[in-house]
Amino acid sequence: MLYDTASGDTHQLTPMASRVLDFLRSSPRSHEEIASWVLSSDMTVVDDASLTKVDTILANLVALGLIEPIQL
Amino acid sequence: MKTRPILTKILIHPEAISRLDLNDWDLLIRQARHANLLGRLAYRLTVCQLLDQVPAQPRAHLESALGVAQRQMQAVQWEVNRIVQALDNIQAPIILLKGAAYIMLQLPAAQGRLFSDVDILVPKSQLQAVELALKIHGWITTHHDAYDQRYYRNWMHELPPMQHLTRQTMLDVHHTILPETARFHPDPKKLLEAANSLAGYDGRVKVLAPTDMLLHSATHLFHEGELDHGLRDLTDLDSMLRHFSTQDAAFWEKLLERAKQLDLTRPLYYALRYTSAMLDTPVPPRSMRAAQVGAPGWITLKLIDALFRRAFQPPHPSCSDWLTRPALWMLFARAHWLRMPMHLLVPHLLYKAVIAPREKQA
Amino acid sequence: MNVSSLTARDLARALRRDGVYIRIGTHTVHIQSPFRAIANNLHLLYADYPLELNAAFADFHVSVKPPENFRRWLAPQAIFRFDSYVPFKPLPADQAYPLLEWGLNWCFSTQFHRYLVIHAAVLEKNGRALLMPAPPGSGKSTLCAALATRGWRLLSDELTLVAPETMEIIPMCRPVSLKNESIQIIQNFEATVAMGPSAFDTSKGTVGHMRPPTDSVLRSQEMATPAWIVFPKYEAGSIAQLADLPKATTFMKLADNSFNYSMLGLRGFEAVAKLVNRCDCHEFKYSNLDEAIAVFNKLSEE
Repeated sequence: MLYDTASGDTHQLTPMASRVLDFLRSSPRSHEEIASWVLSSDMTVVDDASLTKVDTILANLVALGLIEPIQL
Repeated sequence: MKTRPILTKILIHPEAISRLDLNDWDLLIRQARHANLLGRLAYRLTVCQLLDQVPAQPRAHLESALGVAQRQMQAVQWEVNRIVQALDNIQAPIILLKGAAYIMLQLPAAQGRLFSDVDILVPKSQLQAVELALKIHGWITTHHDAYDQRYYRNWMHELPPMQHLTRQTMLDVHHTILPETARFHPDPKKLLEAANSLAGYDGRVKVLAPTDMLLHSATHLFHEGELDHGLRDLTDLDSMLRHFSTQDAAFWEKLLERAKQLDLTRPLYYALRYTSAMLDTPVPPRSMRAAQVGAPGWITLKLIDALFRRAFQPPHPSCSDWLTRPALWMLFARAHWLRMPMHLLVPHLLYKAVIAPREKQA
Repeated sequence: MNVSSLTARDLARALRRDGVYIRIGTHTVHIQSPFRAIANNLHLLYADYPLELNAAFADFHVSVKPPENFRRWLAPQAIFRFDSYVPFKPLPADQAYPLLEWGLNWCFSTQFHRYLVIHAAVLEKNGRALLMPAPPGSGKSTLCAALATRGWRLLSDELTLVAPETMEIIPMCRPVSLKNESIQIIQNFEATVAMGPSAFDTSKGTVGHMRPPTDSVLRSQEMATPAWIVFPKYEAGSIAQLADLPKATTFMKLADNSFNYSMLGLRGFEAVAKLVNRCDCHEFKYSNLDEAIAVFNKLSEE
């Protein structure tokens, strides 16, 4: 469970989404960095679909207002 | 003048709560709640470190209002964040007006105050692009009625209010600070030029300069006829006058000068007259005298006095007399008269009076 | 002085004039009304509640009165006011008493955010409280009324007030609102319950109110500690059975059933999290009240 103090919204995140969010907390990362981090970590996804899956997660997090896309 | 209502007394002198008994608290909470000032009262007591001295029963209601106001501030900040995000591609700065500006600047006027909607000002040339961008990002137009749409777009100074589909929040998009049909015509360009950038937004988000913010708020209060929250809006003016004049020693002179430039000496005169009369705002005598340039003739002033002094009482039966309702109605009619040429006004009031109620019944 | 210290006539006269102050647990409400039905209902259902004719402070000043215009002679109506504010449309005059109860619910659930307010029945046994949040139609009120007649202390049938700092539950013990066939079910279940006259054809069908047990009213200043969160569901023919509910699901359902969760912001989030963490969370299916009560009694003895 996650409470966003900016929006006042409560979110129930999947384990993977919450790990991606944790990873992004320290500093901004590119899609590729996030995907390779997901692959290298002990998550269960180990296929080519992981990059699309990361895209979906990121898009969802943006839609919820938890992260913002920026130019690196 | 009659003795002051307990709410006004305590807002001016919070330390006087030491003399209140539980009966007084009962009346104070009722007046504050109905004037939409419960949060403001709670905040004043908190700042003065007096909240702990309040008996438990009334304190629970003050704490409740404090929490609600804090949550609302958070919600408005988030709303501004979302609006700025949605208007990313607009080639002009967005100016925050009223409550949203007070909150983003963390002015004392924002504290403990409930705001129901966000107001922004954009150049008229960008209006269509702004409306489109907002629609793409989930805001929808309210007031689908064709007459209302035309009323807002042609005669008023804003798009019909927009509402966000999921958050249900209201947004008013203005392109000038007063209706184009109004008697006063402050040049929006002058306001835009003097606007200050809000820290942290790379110059994309702005707020009116302190003098202009005060004048805008005063013009709304004294010429828009929406006096349901008269006392609350007057406390906003009081709070801003106190705050800005402490921040800037030259504020009073600048304010008068600016009112002349913008042709808004009348609302400024009223603002200084009624804040000092009702809320003891420390207006320097010199500024009060100088503001007389905006005063109406004495007969008008007598009448206006009788109306506004009623409008600025807490809207609670304990503070109204048999003239309160007629006074509020006359102020409403006066605002419409100020806003529109007579040939527009008569059809509009007729339409509102005849057609609108009929549609409501259907 | 209690409500029952006055005769029904004296109570009606006081209500018609300056109103009466009734203490509901730690809160006080000031009620004014010329409707005889309101006086009669209050006299019966609030008999054990402390009453004052002139208290210094009331949390809410409310009234239920007929409109002042000509309508009063055409179709008698009742208007609920919170001070001078009118939150709802008028109702037919014969629904005056339910209107008062709904109005009071509205006051406590929308005008008062000192506590986390959950749309849930709450009862206590052996110092531990059972929260039953549920949407209308789940049989929550029936189950609540039945438990209240079998030794569970009633804290509220409708509004659970949780203090976010201490996690204590503040009693808001008022008559239990029963709808349609539930009224008869409870009267059959426990013949000794006192039930106010029913109001027919309301937006919720027929509505009747059950007098809360005297013991619950007398102890309504006594806080309770939450121990179980149970989402009940009446299902014809089912055997009374508890099933574990994951904490995250309970969290979301509890937040959904709260009136002011989002209004409390982070405090609301933390309060619900604490509540869910310290309680056993279940779903509950039942069709027979005796079986259901046996399940809860067993729970309270563990």
